[in-house]
Amino acid sequence: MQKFVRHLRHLGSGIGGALLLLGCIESFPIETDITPDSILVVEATITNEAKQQRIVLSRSYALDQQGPNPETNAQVKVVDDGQNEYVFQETEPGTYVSSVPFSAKPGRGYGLNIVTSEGKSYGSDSQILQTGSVIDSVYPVRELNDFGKDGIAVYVDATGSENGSRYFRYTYEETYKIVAPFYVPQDAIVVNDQWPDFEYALVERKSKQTCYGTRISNQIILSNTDGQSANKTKRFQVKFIPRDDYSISHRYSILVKQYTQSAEAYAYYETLRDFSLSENPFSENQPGFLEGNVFSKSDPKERIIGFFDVASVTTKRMFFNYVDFYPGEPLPHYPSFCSIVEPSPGCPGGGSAGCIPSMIRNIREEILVFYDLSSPGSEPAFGAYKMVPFACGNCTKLGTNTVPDFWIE
Amino acid sequence: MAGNRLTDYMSHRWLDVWPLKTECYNRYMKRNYALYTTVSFLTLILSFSAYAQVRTSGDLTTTISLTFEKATLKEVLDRIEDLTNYKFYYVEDWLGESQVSGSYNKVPISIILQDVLKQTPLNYYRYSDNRIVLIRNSIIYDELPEGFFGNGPLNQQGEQVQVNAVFVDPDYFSAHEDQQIVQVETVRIGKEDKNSIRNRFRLSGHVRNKKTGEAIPDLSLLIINRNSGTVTDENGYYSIELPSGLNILETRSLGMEKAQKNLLLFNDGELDFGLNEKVEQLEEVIVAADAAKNVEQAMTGSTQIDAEESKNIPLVLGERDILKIATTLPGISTTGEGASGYTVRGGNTDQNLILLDDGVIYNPSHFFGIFQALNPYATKDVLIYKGNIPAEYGGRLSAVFDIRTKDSNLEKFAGEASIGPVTNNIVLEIPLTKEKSSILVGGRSSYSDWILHALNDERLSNSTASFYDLIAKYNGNINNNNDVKATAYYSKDAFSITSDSLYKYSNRLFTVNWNHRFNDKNTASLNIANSEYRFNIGYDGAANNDFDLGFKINETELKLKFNYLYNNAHKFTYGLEGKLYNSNPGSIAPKGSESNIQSLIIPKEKGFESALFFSDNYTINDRFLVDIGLRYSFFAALGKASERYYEAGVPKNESTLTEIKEFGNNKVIKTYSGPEIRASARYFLAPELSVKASFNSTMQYVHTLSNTTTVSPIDTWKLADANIKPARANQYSLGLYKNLDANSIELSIEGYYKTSWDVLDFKVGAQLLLNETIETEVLQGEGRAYGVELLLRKNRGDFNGWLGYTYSRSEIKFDSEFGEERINNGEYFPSNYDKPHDFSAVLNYKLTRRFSFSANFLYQTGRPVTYPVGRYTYNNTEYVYYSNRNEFRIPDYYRLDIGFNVEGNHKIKKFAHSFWTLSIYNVLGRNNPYSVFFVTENGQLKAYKSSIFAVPIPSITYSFKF
Repeated sequence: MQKFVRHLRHLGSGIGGALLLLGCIESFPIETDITPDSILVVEATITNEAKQQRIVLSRSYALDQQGPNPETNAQVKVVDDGQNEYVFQETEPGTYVSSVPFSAKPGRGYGLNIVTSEGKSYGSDSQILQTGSVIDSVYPVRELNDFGKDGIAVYVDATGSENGSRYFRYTYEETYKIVAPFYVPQDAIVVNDQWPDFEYALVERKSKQTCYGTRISNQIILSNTDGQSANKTKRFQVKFIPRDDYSISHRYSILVKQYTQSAEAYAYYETLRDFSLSENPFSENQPGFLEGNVFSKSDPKERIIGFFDVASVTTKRMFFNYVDFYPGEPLPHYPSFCSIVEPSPGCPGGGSAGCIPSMIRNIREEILVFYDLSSPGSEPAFGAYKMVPFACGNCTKLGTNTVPDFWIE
Repeated sequence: MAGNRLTDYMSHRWLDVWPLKTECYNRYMKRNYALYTTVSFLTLILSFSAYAQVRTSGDLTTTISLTFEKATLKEVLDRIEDLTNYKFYYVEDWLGESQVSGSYNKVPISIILQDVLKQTPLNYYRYSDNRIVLIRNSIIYDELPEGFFGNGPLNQQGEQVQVNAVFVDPDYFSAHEDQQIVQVETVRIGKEDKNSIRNRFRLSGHVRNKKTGEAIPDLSLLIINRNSGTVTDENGYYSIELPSGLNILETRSLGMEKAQKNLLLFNDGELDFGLNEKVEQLEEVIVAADAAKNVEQAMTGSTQIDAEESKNIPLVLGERDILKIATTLPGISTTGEGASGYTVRGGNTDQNLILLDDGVIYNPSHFFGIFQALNPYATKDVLIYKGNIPAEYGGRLSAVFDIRTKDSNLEKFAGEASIGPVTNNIVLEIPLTKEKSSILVGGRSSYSDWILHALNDERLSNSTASFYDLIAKYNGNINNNNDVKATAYYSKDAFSITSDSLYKYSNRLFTVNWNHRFNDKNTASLNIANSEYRFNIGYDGAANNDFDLGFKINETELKLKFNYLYNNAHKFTYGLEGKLYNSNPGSIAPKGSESNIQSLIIPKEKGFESALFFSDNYTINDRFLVDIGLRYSFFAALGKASERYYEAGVPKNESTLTEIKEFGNNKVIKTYSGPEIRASARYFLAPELSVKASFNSTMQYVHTLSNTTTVSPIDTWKLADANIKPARANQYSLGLYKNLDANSIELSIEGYYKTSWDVLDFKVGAQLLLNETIETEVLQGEGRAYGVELLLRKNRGDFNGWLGYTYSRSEIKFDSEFGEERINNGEYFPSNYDKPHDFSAVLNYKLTRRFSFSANFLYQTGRPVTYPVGRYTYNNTEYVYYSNRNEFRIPDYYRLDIGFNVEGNHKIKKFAHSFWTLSIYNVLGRNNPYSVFFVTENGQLKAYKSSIFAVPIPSITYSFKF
């Protein structure tokens, strides 16, 4: 069901595009003279993973303000219908982590209790863990997306339990190898930064040429098996990576996490997603306040954002290399434009006391990084170095040198 | 017989001398085309005869002796012929039956003739030696009278004696004989007296109403060729002094027929005449009869738009669109460009009954509302009822759009075609049997997909979009009492926007209409209509979810209507209609063997809607007219179905489901019925000033399922059932109507107040398509709308058009004790169609017969919108949350369009009559926001407004008629 709705959305946006041939879509500043009430936002998904569960509380903020706006010093606990209480502690502002690891058990009802620092108390409807499903496989396919763009689509096949929930939400974590194209094993350092005798030296570089970058999904990805004979998800696309995305330049890995949700939770996320995706004038949905399952115990009219959800989780990881799909083809552009420059090692015109040469500033602020000597055999004290933008020689700005535990070459 | 030969004599050429000044004459001719074409034969009026043989004087000196007693004139003349060698030429009828007596002894014939003709309007003239012509009224002068050129003898008072001969331009009458359409009566007043030196005479008389016999007071009598006139007194009498000769009399009065008479004044005289009550005039008969409709009819809130008359109005890409023009009238609007559907007096877009020759059209637009799906050349007009709806129509809450196609030409083959930037179009009218039956066929289609291909957008590079519509109409007169009309119509749109999907929708309609006249008082019409609307989406992508999705609604209607003119006061209309709905609310099927989509068919719905209606158009007196209508409508939801029943009084969902009941085919699931009152009244406060009031109630048994403000590609129609009740509405209207300047200017102000119940809305984020339990998403609430509409409309003249202004509000309320069924805390809030201020101006100016200029200007308050008011972070992404529903508004809408029209020259013999339209849509390039929306992009919120036509759009269209 969801699949074709998604396609309808594309279709609709195409129609919109056609009509906008003579028209336009233009951005405009959001009105900022509206000062709404600050609304409590609850992000709480308790899973069947045995771990310290995590709940995030925040407050809404005005359109012209920057978030997030954490809700601190609240008392948070999850209570099950066996009267077990799981108390949460605030580990960083707005983030509350259960004091003990626990996992949601099938067939048991869970409820959320919050008392804010203002003394207002909130509760939730009781939620039951849904029977889990299994991700059968996560696999990449090189294809053109709906808009004709070449890239790698990541698909999921999964099997749900026959009588279990047919509603799924996905998150993913991408990890990918980055190879600094202008890596050399030396680094330039500043030995003397006092005028007039600036001095530089080359030392062994600590960082390695290869890094591992990570990105976490921030979109709401949903699928369901409504209207299908079996509770089987087949070829559901969780991610599309355009071929010009540098993350697939070498080796790429994605961990897909599937949450099996209740129909209510699914509906909540679906509406939330539709609100943020509404780019099509023909399927513009009627926005309104999205009511979740968290309510104020004192004021029934108070609006609360968020859904307290109990979901079962299954994960699967997959790897692929660029050459598997694009053998012999040029790599995507490196995220930094790599050009070689020779900054002046001294101050212009000889300088005076206190002046700082551009070379020193570039090294210290990690704007540029050493690439080569200016001319073969020249001494650093006299001449300049050939430098490249930092990320071109040192990928630690884009990821970490540490090989992740799960990484398989 | 002698009289017959007179015609030969009269057919000689006349001398071109006449007293009417050429210049005035020409001006007159221009001003009054009607008269110009209506001059009849006036062969007996003559001025100077240039006839060469006329030399002798009229004196007949031959003496005879003659005695006669109670003889007819003819007998006397015959006797004279016997006694002399004179021959008389005359028209026998002129002589009449009057009898004369006399005894003459050796007196000249001239004396005898003078005596016997004294009591008649006849004069005599000796035409040649032995021929005497009798002439009515006139004296024939065989030489220029003395003083004709102004140097005549002075009379005793010292005034120059005016020559009193009556001259009439014979060419004036003869030249236009072939163009005559109606004979203007020519009246001769008085008998010419050769001895009279007066050139002005007194005309007096009495004017009465032909029907009632009552005197007509205050009637203007204009002598249009003399620039003089008078007015009848309170008893209908008049008196006016006029110059001798031709005086063209025209009468003008409110509510009375306009009459013209050519008066030939020979002497003082009297003229009494009667006038008919209604305006009946040549050529303009239709216009004139309708002209006073604004003030005369009892109906409130009705409008008519004529397709041909509105052709000058500039529209987007030069496509004529009478429905778009309708939206420039008060009370009717759209959500904006690209918005199909019309909202009337604050109602939803699904509350309008759109009829084409009495068959329902579900989606009357192409390309999502940018173009109308009706062929403009096949369309005659549209009648819109937005206030009081006649009792014969029902099934929708807000309005009726009664679109009528042209009757095909019965006389000769004709056609019209056009070439425009978007479509080409041709309509042919083909007579089948002359004056009996004819068929009209029309086709219109878009060109290839240049619009989409012109886009430099990779997403659309493989896109196609096309549409077409076809129409055929047969009209046949079987005999004087029976005629049959049949219309077939089909329209289709197809889009393939992304390479893997194809979206199609179509309307299909077939109607047959049989009109039968029983006698002068009773007529009936039988109408059978079938219409179908469907859409289909085919998806063929890379993943395993290829599908075919479809929706269809089909209705078949039978309507029998009788009109009974009971008497002058009562006109009855009554009848019944029945309509069977069959709907396939949605189906999805896998496409290809790989597809993992499971077939899903939402079970068919069936419903039967019927109604009895009766109305009486009752003229209580000259001033007071009422139209009382009653409609009783009935709806039955029919099986086969599995109907779900829920606990009462709680939100419907899986947990409150109590029972699923099976119904067999045609078994009644649920019935609804109710009376609908359609009452209106008109009262004349003064001639051409009326006040009207109406009360109108309506019921609607089908609704669209749409959670957007505009008609969207995937809107479906849902029949009322056990869970979804029919919507109802009541409307009160009150208005003042005034016509000015002989009905050429209409002025009206009309207010309304409308309440509605059980109007549909949906829960936030409702999934409407392919939902088997749609009732769990539906909310039914109350609505109220009110407004004042002002319209100033000038229908005729070189400068015409209208100005409309509306102030209106439309609000809805959804209250419940359950939060999910409540919107905005259960209080009234503006509906999506609440646009308080709406101004429009449509102006046409005819520079010459061939060139005209037109312009539209529209202004509307921006429609309500639900704005995001705050933000929050969730799952590392920023989201917005919204204000109360419809708390804010998008920016105001305004647009100016201009058009310039060139008609081909008016040569009669030309093959085709051509018409060029140059138009610029949105001259100001106003970026009217069509919608406002918010997108979370890379974790950042952005607001966008979209507009469909943000730049001026020029276009040129060529059309021609043959």
